Amino acid sequence: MDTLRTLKTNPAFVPTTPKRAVGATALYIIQRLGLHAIVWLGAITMVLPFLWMFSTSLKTQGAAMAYPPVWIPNPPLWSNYIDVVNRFPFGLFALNSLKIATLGTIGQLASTSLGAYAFARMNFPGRNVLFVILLATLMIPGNVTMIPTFVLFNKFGWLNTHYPLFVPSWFGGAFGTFLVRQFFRTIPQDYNDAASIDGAGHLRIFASIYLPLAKPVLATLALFTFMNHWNEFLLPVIYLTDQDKMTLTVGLSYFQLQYTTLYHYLMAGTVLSTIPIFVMFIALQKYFVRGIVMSGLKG
Amino acid sequence: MLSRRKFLTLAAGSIAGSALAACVTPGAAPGAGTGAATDTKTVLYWALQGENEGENLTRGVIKPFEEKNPTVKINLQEIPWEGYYDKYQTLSAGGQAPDIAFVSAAWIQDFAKLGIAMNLDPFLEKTGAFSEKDADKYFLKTLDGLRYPGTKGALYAVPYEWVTIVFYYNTDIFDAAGEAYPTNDWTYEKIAEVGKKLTKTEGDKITQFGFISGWDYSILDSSLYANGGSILTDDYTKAVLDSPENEATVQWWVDQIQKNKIAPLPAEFTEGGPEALFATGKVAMAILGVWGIQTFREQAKFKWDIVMLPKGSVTQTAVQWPNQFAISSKTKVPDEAFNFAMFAIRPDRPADTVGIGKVPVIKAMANSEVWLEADKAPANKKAILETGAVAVPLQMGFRWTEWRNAMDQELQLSYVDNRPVAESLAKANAAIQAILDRK
Amino acid sequence: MTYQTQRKSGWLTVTRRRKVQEAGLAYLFLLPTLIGLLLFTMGPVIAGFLISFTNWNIFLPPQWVGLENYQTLVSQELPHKVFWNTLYYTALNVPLNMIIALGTALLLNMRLRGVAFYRAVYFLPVVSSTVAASLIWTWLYSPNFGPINYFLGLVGIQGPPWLGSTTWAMPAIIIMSVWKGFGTNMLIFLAGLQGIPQELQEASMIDGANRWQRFWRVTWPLLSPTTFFVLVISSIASFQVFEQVFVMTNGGPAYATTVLGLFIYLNAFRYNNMGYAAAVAYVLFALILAITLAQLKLQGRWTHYEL
Repeated sequence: MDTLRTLKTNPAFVPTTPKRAVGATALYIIQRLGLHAIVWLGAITMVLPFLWMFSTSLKTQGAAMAYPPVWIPNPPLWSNYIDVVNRFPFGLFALNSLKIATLGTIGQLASTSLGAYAFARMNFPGRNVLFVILLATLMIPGNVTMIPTFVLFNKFGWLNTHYPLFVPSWFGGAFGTFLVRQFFRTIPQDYNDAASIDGAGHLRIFASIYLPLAKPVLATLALFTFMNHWNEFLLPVIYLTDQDKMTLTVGLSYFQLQYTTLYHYLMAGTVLSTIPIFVMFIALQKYFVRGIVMSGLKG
Repeated sequence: MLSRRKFLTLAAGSIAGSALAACVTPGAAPGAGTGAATDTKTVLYWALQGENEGENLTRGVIKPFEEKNPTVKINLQEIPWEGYYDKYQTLSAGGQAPDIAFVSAAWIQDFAKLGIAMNLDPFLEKTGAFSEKDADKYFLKTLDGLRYPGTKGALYAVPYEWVTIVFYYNTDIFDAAGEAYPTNDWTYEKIAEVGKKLTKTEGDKITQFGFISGWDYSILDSSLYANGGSILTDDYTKAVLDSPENEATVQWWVDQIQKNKIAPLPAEFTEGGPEALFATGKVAMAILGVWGIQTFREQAKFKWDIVMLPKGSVTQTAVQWPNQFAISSKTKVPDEAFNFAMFAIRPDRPADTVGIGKVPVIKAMANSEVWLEADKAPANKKAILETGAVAVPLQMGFRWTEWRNAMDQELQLSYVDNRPVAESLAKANAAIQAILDRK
Repeated sequence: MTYQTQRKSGWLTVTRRRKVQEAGLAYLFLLPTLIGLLLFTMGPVIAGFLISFTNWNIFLPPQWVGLENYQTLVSQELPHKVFWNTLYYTALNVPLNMIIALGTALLLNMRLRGVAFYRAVYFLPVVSSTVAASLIWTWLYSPNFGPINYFLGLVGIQGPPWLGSTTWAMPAIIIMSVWKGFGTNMLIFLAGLQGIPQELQEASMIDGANRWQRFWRVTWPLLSPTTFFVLVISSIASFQVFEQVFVMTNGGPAYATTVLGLFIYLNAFRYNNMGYAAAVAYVLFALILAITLAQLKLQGRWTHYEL
């Protein structure tokens, strides 16, 4: 943070309010309108496929594939949602998904933030080599480790349990560690120096300075981890056998039969399963919005 | 383009419909039926093929089987079709294979060769099942697709029901154009001729298609055999796709898109496959599998019916394949598993527990009033049985999933990019041969 | 730590002990990571590496075939096409994704009414499942009946057959992937932008810098660690693209969209050709490693903080 430090210590730096010419106001309004137009256009592009998903979820099976496409079903079949929930133990599936995603997320946050701190702020032999190895694991195509991993979990006796779906998240991960480490590196080393002079050890510095400052990045990581667990498809199919242990994503594929897809149900189910993640995103959003990070730096 | 449905069937290496795996786990002792305390548990995995399938199986097979065999407990697990093959394969590799499995015909050769499925010939010798005298009882021809090696080897699965390909037409479109309905006596040339009359355009865009063309096994393969061609030799070891007969056949299909412009690019199939396109009522005629019946009953807002596929230059035929139970070679309760499979095709199984459009391997059931469903579309459902009488097994053989994909990818260039058909066939032939020859 | 530089010998021993302590503690912090690395990654990866020298169908014991799988890979035509397809996808997807993500992040970092709502909307594709999104896009791309060509028709453009064309299938997959994926990067960029102190922006405003200059002089350099992170992660993910191709085209037409992720999956899990799949995976791994190392080397030149 050389720039920041120079700025803070530079006596020539005196903040003043920037002036704005009166004639610029009209231009400003046009700019703002243009801005809103762009943002709106983008938003519509983003949302259009989902509108169709939602519209399909309110149609009959036949109308779902009709040409020309019908955007507003008449009448809307809200009963599809009731059917979806009743056709399979949907609540149970959702509960299983919630359990796996929550446990996985907690473990991932704990293990990666500890590891990230070690990589960012501690000296130990083999640090750089280990970090490169960890990064390299990101590049390993998951398909190839699937069979050896299955054999391993089979030896543990974990088939038909939820363990294979969340336990690996308790043991770090390249993406999370990299993300948090990058963030930790932006926190000035001065904090560590000052805290060690006060007699604080690494554990205390980590817990009382780094973790609170890292809320935005941890919230981001939490969302991604939760989402990945929530949307995971292949692993639950392979590891789980009993229907009462299945997850929501697998539950949704019950609507994809071999020769036909029950399109309207699939879409209704997808809408239902997307809502929790969407809500979670809105709830966590304020963390990155407020920029807690830099308030720490300014102080 | 491969539709969602197509990807599901292709990717899973299956054409045959459902896949079920059952796991016969012995509770106390393997010797079932030796005492009241013996409680053999059977876990059944069933991949979802059609609606109400698990229900039909429970009512038609599992419940009555458990009543007759109180020492055997069946625990049905419905597994989504998607991911089923991965699951079955991973379980087999991990030594956790289910004892009895409802598998696709496309997997049989591989499962037999790799020692995953059990050779059922000893059971047949012991029980006399599927002998020549059973010819009146079962559609014995379906067994040919379940043997290894080739079509003459040992039996590796018990057939449950079979499917084939028929000719669908939109009655309303024919009525509107004043054309006579298709019959069992049509030829492929007749399709092209009538198809032109039934195609409607609006500027550059086609708004009503006369026909549907494709490279898919369910659309293309019947015509290859009807015109005297073949993909593999009878022993499934050599590719013979690059013959002049096949070139003419494939050229005919390509022409319906490129030259006659009566059929859409397969990219139009989108998610629901050609069935969904036909179901919209924008297509006059289509060659599709019998599974389309369920789709059209639910979705079609027009009248439609079926006849046999048209006559080829050599013969009139269609491809056919069964859905079946395979028993794991590692099972500890092979007798119970085999008994269960045979019980599933007992003659007195309720006829209303058969999937829509599919034909039970039990002849009496297939010929029953209940199955023929005179009150429902298609009115001419007996065309399926007529087709069965002349049908040939779909050639699959070892590594079918892989070589079929290679073949399709090569043919696609002729369908979508005008590459000469002979070149595509030659390349496809070489690709198939390389896959068959690989160690 | 500054006090470590003192040259008194007593200090040195303390420093050494401190160092040993610190290393021990660091390994303790890293314990979960190390266990995970060994058990869930390195173990299977080493197993996979050995598998790449065998002919293995998963069901029977593997047979050692030496370099045969790698030779097949080099000598056959199809794997080459698959590599080029993957590079094509990555070369277009990564820059497009990053430009749109950064642009959107900059827009949504401004004081706009309802900005929280917009952010949520732009992020929506990311939270939906790829399979569901792929199903929807397949329909959107339908040449005669899909809305994309319908809208193009309204402005007088005759749309291509998209997924049915060897030319347009890959661009179609890329467009869908950018739509589906840029929200993640937008979020990371937003977090990065939030981390840039307001004073710096204000300071450069006083210097008379316009918006464009402020972006290049202040925002871009300070955002560089984020940009680097996004670049590395997106490149790696792009090289492994799988689900949307699997659902939308299954690699067709005529192999036009067969990418490495799909090729590996098909060989490993559909064709029981595990040894070959592992060999392809290791070549993919080497490719990603080379590109990431190149990015790491270049990073020193343009990022604000060092790695």
